[in-house]
Amino acid sequence: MADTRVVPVSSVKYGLKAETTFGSGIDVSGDDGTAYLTQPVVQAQKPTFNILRESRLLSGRGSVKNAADTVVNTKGGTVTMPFEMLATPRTLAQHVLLVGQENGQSGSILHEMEIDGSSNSDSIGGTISGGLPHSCNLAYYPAAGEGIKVCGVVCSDLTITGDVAANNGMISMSGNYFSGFSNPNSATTTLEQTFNGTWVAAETTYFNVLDCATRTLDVEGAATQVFIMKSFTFNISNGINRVGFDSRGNAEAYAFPEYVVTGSLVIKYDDEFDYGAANNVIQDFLDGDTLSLNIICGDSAPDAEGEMEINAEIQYTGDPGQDLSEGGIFHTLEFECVQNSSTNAFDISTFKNEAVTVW
Amino acid sequence: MKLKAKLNKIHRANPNGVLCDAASLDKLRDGEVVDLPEDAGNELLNMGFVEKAKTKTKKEAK
Repeated sequence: MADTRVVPVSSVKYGLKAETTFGSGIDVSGDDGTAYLTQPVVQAQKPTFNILRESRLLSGRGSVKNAADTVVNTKGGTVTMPFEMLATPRTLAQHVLLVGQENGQSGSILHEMEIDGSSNSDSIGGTISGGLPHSCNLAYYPAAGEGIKVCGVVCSDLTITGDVAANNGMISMSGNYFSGFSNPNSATTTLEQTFNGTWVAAETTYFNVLDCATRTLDVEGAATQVFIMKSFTFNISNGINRVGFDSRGNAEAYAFPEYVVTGSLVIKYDDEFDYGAANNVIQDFLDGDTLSLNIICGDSAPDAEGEMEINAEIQYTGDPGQDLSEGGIFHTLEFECVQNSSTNAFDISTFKNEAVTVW
Repeated sequence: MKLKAKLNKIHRANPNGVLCDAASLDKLRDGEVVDLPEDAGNELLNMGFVEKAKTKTKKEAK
């Protein structure tokens, strides 16, 4: 008789825990007792092993492939996994670190990740100190004895989105995890794993785009004009590549050749942003102007959970489009972030009163 | 511990996700000083949603 077991989508969870040694399992003693940080996703996607499989029809085999002539190589591959969730204070701070490989902490505790062309790691794989550089063990857990532990996990890309008309205004994030540890063994990436630690519950505080009290953008000669916002999106990618191989064929390092931040902003057509003299968004595009963008979610510089600040130096990458609705005309501004002298291309500050080492 | 809400931030406290009881959370939202158990109070302090209420000494009160 066939088995009647059903695995509800919601019964699968996944968690992250920062590594202290690049690519090594935190608990490799059998069952994994690590206190993973549960990620607040609705549907946990399965990690995908991207390895080499070559299937050849050799001469002399006739007209069909032979079972003995296929080659599978788990060394030298990657493991990837997509994610999508509402941003919470810890998950946002940790994921911008996972993609940007940079973190500054101040006060109690403001986490700042900046992309400036020099602060972000060009490569990781050496010593980890104080949680930096930042890579994780990822635990994907459908059931006891059926878990997948992926080591050396960072983010290859991260998208942060806020839209007054989506998710009830909650700011969300999505992206992809990346690992160069594709060859399962007991010391690192592992299959058939039981995770029996006490996982840390997902947070319940969120960011709401309707809390974005400060929204300013330069336009032509006028600095820090206030805009009315419908939505924003930032996409951060680091172009990650795995480098080298250890005795198991797993990565010795990751290289981050280029940090790219692009995005879009949908703001209202009004007297601050129009097609007239001094406030002309089209002229900004035609002139190739570099414009300062500031969005603060919260009533001040972030000093409480659910607050963050984004600063970006942007250049429009296309002619400002239009979003037509009953709310009037809105500009659709596609941009990329660029380093502007000493001003960071992009930086994001979030409040979470935890040190990186706790993650 | 006696705490007072930061009124521009306390609205983000999820009543189903914090240790503070709903009645106390309501009072905090109304701007009242509330005496909370250590664990519930420390959680809200860590989140940055409240601050310790200033208690006046007798001398100051006069």
